[in-house]
Amino acid sequence: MSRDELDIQYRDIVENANSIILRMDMNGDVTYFNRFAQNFFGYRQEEILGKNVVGTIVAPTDSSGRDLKAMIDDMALHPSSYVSNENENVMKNGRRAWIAWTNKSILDEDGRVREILCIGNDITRLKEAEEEIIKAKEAAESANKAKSSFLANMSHELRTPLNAIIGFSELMKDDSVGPLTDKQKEYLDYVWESGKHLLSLINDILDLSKVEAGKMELELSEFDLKELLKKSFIFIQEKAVKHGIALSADIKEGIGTVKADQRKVKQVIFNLLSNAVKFTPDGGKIGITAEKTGKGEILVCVSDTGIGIEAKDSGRVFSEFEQIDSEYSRKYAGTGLGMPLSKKFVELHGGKMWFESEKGKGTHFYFTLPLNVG
Amino acid sequence: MADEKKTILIIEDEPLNMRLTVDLLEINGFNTLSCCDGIAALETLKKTIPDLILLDINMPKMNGYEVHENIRKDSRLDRVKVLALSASVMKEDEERIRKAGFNDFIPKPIDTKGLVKKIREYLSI
Repeated sequence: MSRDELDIQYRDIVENANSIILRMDMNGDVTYFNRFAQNFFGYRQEEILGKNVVGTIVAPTDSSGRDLKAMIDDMALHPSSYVSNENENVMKNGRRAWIAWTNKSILDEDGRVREILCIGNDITRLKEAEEEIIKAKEAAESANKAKSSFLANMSHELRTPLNAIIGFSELMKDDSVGPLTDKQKEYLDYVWESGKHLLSLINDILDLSKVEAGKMELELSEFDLKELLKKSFIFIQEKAVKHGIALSADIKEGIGTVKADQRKVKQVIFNLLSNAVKFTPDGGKIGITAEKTGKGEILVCVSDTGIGIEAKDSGRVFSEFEQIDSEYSRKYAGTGLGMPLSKKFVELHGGKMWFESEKGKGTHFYFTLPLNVG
Repeated sequence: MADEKKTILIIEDEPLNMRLTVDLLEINGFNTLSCCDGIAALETLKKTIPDLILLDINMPKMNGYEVHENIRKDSRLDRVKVLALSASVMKEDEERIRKAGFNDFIPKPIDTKGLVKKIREYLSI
């Protein structure tokens, strides 16, 4: 192929490339403008050659107010800072477009920059998508902030009247303001228990929203798990005695100090035990066992001889606000948040929670805790 | 005089919560002084030095932190323990209370028996 033929071939490639290709001198005057650029910007060759880019394909300022004239001036002074560059451009008809440019200095024989070769691609759609994502992210963040502050306010506002409900009930319950009839005492107990119940709902909702926002952090400390498990029956002692439920604990050797979030572990055990006592008929049994597994974990099991969970309901045990049967929900008041929260607390520690159950025979709830969390 | 009644200053803007704390403490053998806002409380403290102060955090006019700062500037009150009472119980609230240097933080709703026990501990009675 002759030199001329080669030139024609290269010219053809540049003219027909699906990219904007242009050259400008150090003043910003256009010296070359390929066919794609002509079609894209809507300028004929004779309209644009010799014209400055500012005022033709570059608006003095872009839609956000960025000074593009200053940018072009700076580009002539420091071409190496603009090897790749994204900016807004404008077409002859006024429509704006975002272009990703790669810019290359063209040197003369003395090594001075004479012109800049600019190759551009339209990234308007990408930019728009990017902006939408940023907007959506900002909207989500602000919604999340609003949710957190709503929850904090709600918690505060509900606690204030609850302080009076629970507090005055406690004052009256103790007969400190005069004796009450049995019926009055009974009713007062309902008021007090309902107040406490509402309080635990508020606490559970706050905890759950923290877990869901990924904001629940473990407060790790070293504590004696054996002691904690042994003492845990205190939570349900009164009810167990009242209903003739036998309590037994079997904590195997080697269960001692663990590093975990004590408050959360306590809450998990409390939830399991209070569920067990709630669903176990009079004269039943509740047990707690703990042993080390071979995998550097402790396996804790809370078992009961209660009503059990039917296979068809097993998927709902760890769902929020679920209590298996509406009949039970009435009979066995609970927040419906205890189990999902417990599972999440265990998982935050890197452990697992599951259960085995037979309808009418009882349930075994298990969870594992790694010996060393964090 | 060990058996002399101790005086607790309660600073609380919500009338029912105030009534509850006052009655609880009176039943349990304390004298109480009550102020429904921080400014009134600082006035009262110019004239009297209580044995212990229960200070609500969310109050109009002057919040509990500001009241506490003023109390801690007064060297006459150096020995007076100040317990913060608040229905704002988020972790950040508790941390702010601890950082501010309150002697303790009592979340609302209060545990009536627990509060009395705690006050007795702080007063060593």
